[in-house]
Amino acid sequence: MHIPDGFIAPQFYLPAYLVAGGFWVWASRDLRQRLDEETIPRLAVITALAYVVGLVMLPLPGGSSGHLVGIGILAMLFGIRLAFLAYSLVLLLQALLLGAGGMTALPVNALAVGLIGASVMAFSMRWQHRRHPLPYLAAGAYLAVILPALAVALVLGLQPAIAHREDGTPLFFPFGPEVVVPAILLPHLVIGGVEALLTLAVWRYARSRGWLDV
Amino acid sequence: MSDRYWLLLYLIAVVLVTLVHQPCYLLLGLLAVMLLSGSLRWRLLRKALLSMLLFNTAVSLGYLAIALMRDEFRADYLLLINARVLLLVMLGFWLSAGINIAKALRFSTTLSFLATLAAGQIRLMSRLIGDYRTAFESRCVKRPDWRERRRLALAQTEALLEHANHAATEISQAMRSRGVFDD
Repeated sequence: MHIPDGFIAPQFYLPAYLVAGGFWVWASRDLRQRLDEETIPRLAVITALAYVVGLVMLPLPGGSSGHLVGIGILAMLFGIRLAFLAYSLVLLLQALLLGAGGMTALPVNALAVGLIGASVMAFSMRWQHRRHPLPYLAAGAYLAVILPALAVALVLGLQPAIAHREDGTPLFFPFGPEVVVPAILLPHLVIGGVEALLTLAVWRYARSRGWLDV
Repeated sequence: MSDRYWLLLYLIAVVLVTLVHQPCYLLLGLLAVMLLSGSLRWRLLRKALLSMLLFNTAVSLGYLAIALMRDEFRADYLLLINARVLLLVMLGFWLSAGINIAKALRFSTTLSFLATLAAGQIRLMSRLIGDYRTAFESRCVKRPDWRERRRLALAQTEALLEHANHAATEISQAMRSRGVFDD
C-alpha cells in the first residue's frame, strides 16, 4: 500500500510533513513517562514485527502482489499515539533500509496508514463487545487496511491535477482517481482479510500472555 | 560531519530532486551519485533497481498503455519519473550505507533507542523468516498448494510471536541489569 518515493509532488508532501509533524509532536508528548521497562522492549519488538510483516508478499489475482501492514497489531497493543509513532519508524526504516516508500512519501504513508489505520483499529477496540470481541477486532483490522488504502489512492490520484506541465503531461504520478482507486482498493479487499486473520492470531497470543487488559 | 548532518543534507537533496523536472539534470545527479559512492556504486544501483522494479514497471506500463490509447504518449515523462525515482532510491541507500541511522535519530533519546532495538530485531526476524522459507522449500518436491502455504504462514506467525515474546523479555532484563530504568 505504500506510496513509493518520487510520485508525490512537493506541493503536497511538504504541507503533509507539517501536518504529520504536528501529529508526531502530539504522539511523542510524555513519551518517556508512557514507556516503562515492559513497554519499550515490547514496542521495539512489535515495531520490528510490523516491519517484517510488511515484507511478506501476498500473491493477488491478476499476477500482482501486495503486502501486509501490521498497523492493526500495533494499535491493538499500544493505542493510537504509540502505534502512529512506531509505524512512522517502520516507514523510516523501510525507506532507508529497503528503498520501500521513501522520504517524500513518508508523511502521507504515516498519516494514512499510521494515523487513520491506528485510529480505526483503536476505535474498534474501544467499541468491541465484551463477550464477543472477535467480529469487532476483525472488522477493525480489515478497515484499518481498507481506509488507509483508499486515502493513499486518493492522494496518488490527485497528483496529476496538482503537478503537470502546461500541456497537461503529469510531473509525478500519472493516473487520476478513476484509475488508481480501483487499482489499489481491489487488491486490498483481499489483503485486509489476511491482515484481519493475522491480527486476530496476535490478539489471541497477546491475550494469553497478558499483554492486553481484556 | 556527524550522521545527523548527513541526514539533514540528504533531506535537502531529496527536496531538490523533486523540484527538478528535466530528466537530463536528474541523470546528471544519478551520475554524480554513482561517481561519489565509490566502490559501493554497483551494489547500490542493483539494490535500487530491484527495489523500484515492481512499482515503476507497473506505473510505466500502465502509463504507456493509457497514453497510447489517448494519443498523449510522452517518452520524456517516462524518463523523468524513472530517473527521479532511481536517483531518490540511490540517495537513500547511499545514506543508509554511510551512516548509523540510530545515531542520526539521536535528537530524541527514546526514538533512537527504539530504532536501535527495532533494527536489531528486524535483522533477527528477517533471518528467522528466511530460515523458515528455505526449510519449507527444501521439504517441497513440487510446488506447494494453498493448504501447505497456510500451514507455513501459521507456523511462521507462531515462531515470530514466540521470538517477539522472548526478545521483549530478554531486552527488558538486559536494560534493567544495565540500570536503564533506574530513576
